[in-house]
Amino acid sequence: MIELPGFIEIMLQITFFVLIIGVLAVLIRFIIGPTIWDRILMVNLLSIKIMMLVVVYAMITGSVFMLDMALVLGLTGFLTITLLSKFIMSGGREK
Amino acid sequence: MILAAVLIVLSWFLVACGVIALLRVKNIYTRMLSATLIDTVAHLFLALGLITLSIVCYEGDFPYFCFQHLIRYLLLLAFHLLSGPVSAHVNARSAYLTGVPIARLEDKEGGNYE
Repeated sequence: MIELPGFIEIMLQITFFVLIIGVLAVLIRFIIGPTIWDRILMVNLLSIKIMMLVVVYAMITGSVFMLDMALVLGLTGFLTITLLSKFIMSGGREK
Repeated sequence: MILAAVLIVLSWFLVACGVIALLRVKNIYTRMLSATLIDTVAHLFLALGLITLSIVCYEGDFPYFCFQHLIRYLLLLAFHLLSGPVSAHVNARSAYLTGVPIARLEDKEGGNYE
């Protein structure tokens, strides 16, 4: 198994806080974003940041299955972005 | 070990730059470019640091690195390097074809391209 030294573990916990600040900024821009493409972009960034959070958590706890979860999160985020963009480009629900 | 620490600190710096770019930039295309690119590079540095950790800090017998962690980090990194720019491109193409202008008029007159 992986044995982390002490200061690396503290650094990974600081990484948690930096990523959570990033998530809060993404949510602020999600609320005040003027157009709908801003909000789609924010969903993209939110999925990426949550993926990074899960990766760091998997490194701290040393579990392998969390990395599979991160892979699934990345796949669903990418599919969400592409399908929503195609749906809005074709006119949305009004056509 | 120190290499991993430097890579993780670089990823903090890039995430902070992404936050500043996200909240300050006014044009939508500039925002898409900066935010997605900076997050991709931040994930690159974070994954490289964690790969270095999974090689250095492994306590086991033969392979001298934790294979299960390493292969999943590489898979995540490859998938994100492929899918991040593609999703940004699809989003920007959707915005451009639906009619968001590239630069607004007041930006051109004032010479304010931030």
